[in-house]
Amino acid sequence: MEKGYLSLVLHAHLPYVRHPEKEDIMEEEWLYEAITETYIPLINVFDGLLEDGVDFNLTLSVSPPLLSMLTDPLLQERYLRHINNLIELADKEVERTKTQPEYHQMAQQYAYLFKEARYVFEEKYDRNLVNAFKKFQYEGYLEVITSSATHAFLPFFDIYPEAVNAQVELASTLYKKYFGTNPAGMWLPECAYQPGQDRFLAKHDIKYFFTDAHGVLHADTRPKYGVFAPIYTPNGVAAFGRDLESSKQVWSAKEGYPGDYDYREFYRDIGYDLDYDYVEPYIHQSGIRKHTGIKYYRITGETDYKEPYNPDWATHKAGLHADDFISNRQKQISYLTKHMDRKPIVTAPYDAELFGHWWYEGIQWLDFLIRKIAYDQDTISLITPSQYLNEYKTNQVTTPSYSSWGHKGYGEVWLEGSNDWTYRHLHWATEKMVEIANDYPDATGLKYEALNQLARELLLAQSSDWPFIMKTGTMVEYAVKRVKTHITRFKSLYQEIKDDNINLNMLRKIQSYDNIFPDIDYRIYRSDNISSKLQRELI
Amino acid sequence: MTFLIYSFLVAILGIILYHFFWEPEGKSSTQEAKETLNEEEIFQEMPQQTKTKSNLKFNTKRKNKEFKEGNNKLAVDWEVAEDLSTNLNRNTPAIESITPNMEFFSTHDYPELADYDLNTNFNQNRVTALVRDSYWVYLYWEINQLFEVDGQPILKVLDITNKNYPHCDANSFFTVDINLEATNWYLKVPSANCQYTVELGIQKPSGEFNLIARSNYFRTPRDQPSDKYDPEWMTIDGIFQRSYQADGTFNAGSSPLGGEQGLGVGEYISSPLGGYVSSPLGVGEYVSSPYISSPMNDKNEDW
Repeated sequence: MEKGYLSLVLHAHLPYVRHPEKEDIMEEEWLYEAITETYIPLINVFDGLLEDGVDFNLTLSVSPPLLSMLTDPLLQERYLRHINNLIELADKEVERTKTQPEYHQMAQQYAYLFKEARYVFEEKYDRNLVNAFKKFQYEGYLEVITSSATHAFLPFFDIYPEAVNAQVELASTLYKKYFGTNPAGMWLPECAYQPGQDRFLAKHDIKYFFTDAHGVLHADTRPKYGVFAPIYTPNGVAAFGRDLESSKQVWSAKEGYPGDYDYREFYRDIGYDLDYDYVEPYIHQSGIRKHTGIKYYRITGETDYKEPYNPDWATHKAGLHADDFISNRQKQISYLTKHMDRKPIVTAPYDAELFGHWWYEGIQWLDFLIRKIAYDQDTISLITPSQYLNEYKTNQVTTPSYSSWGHKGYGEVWLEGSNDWTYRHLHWATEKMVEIANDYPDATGLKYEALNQLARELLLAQSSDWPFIMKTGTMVEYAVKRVKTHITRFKSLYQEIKDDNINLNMLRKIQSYDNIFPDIDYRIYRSDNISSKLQRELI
Repeated sequence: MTFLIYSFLVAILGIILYHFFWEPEGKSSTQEAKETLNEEEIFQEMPQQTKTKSNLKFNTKRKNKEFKEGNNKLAVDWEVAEDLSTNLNRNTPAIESITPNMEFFSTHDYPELADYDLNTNFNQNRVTALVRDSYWVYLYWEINQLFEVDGQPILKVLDITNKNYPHCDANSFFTVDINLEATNWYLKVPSANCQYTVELGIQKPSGEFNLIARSNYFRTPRDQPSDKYDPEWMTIDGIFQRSYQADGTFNAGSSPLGGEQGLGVGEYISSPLGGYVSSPLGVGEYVSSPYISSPMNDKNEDW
């Protein structure tokens, strides 16, 4: 019998990047890379566990933009083209490395993995990876949850409750469309919680969310069990606090596993390393070199000197690291049980894309971890938040503190010199959206369509990815242009609606570009949507 | 050669986009132009922009709403703000910084989306506050109408914790001299876990304060654990009956949440554990676990 629980939570999210207007948009490859290197390998791990009859419980958050992209026919088509191209390159690599045994094994492995990815994507799951997640949920191994509609940093929209409500409701509705049920939990984008926003989760029947450790630790009444048991907010939604120790072991650049010298070096890619003429067909059409995903070196050390990757060494390390992670959780839980009158839960959330894409061996590590937990020990068991709440129905009631999992723990990553300029425009658009939704209670025809598109432009502009990118300093131009483009489209549409002079061609064009939430009804932004109790608070 | 063709295409696309996006906005271009004007011009422009009475009316409405909104939030947060001083100057657990996933993806500049200058105006006197962390707040403002320019523009930062401001006086306030034209400001506030509002106005030489706009009410987050220990408990039963059933399927919609039975808010039960008295941890403690170092650390200590 286990003494305590480990709740692994993977948050899968990418911003909505879909550009029908042009082929070979490099930002779309975020999706393709993540499919090949993270989502499909994860699916393969889960399928392997199912085949071997290994019991496991995992939570996976799939953000609405990602859900929309994974189910989009255009992007599915483009992914196939992408993976075919990659397979062609990998086959060439097998040929090229024939006389270089130190690379040949990896070249063969890539060729195999890419072909497997194509099979899993095209044939096994019919181009729609959501089918796989649905299957694992149905089988009872995976709890799929959602995130807010376009991954907005919700505390910064707190002054517009209609907008926060819309972010939650649209996510819930989209989830229902694909999974046929309400999402049990929600990954609040960036783990960002603002006291009071639990009312929107409660309203949409969402049972739990996550905060960073200090979100729970700094709750208005001290949490008796720290982050090792959930708390209920006053509206009865459970909050699980992130455990910093288990996070650090995986995330930290200093102490984390992914930096091990035997692991694959992310930055040495043949897209940059090989002769230009050779890789030219596989890099960006404009001739800019890029990551192909074929990488032959291990981290080796701190200098630029890199040795060839040895898959056996790396696998061995992934096993050791899984053992280490388990042994630390065992120590942690054994300690905690002495101080708690219930089984503790250690909540360990990670970005899904960390595994496979960034930390190449992370997928193997996860596979080892799940199997070792199932067979090699009995101190800890895996659990989902729903299962824990089912076992412990009585929890402390207190209000978590405003917090996020970003650097320094609050809003600074998304609100600083590089990105603060966006909020004036975002707030303006949000305010206008609520106003216009209130002004037009029952628009029809073209106006209805235009109002719906207006809501889509607002939502796409609100994504936390744009300020994040502006802050990190790479691809800034793209993020800036995305915000400006959506706000400008919003302004132009807004004016057309107000003037009753809708440019049909333009509307059709924007509809085809920004097609997220096809079933949206702009009236979701009306103030009478938030309950009369909420309204009383506002009036 | 390829580059030339691309440049040409981009130029054409640019013209098309310009045509589509810019032209319809021509009507509001007079409004938008003003934000790019320099300081003196802004003041000259102001009277024109607020000619319409409806605008003024709207402003007043909005302000009332904000006041009341604030009041209500105050009521909600009433109990939270006890004994601030004792919360300060303690060591908090280090908040680990994490690096979300975006930067792991390859990058490229993007020629297709046009880079417009956004000129956005609410056409109101207003100031908005966003809480960055326990001690820093970001403010942005817009001024369309100025009754009085003779004096020093200031931000009046009021601590309204537990106060029904503006019906009661604030606990305290301080002022910061500003440049109105800055239009945004990072403001340091003295305390975590306090409720504030910021008033933007003109301090006249006589000492009189002319209010131009008041911000939303906001609360800085705690930077320390709370000093309130007595836990309240809530039991939510049946919510997860719908969870995984024997066959592993979800039984959607059977949740009582939002249904007839209600959620059970108010179903607070007093602690079966007798509150903190019987807590094995003793007063003032919550569960934490010792830092367990990874055996892998030693080798890689030098990264």
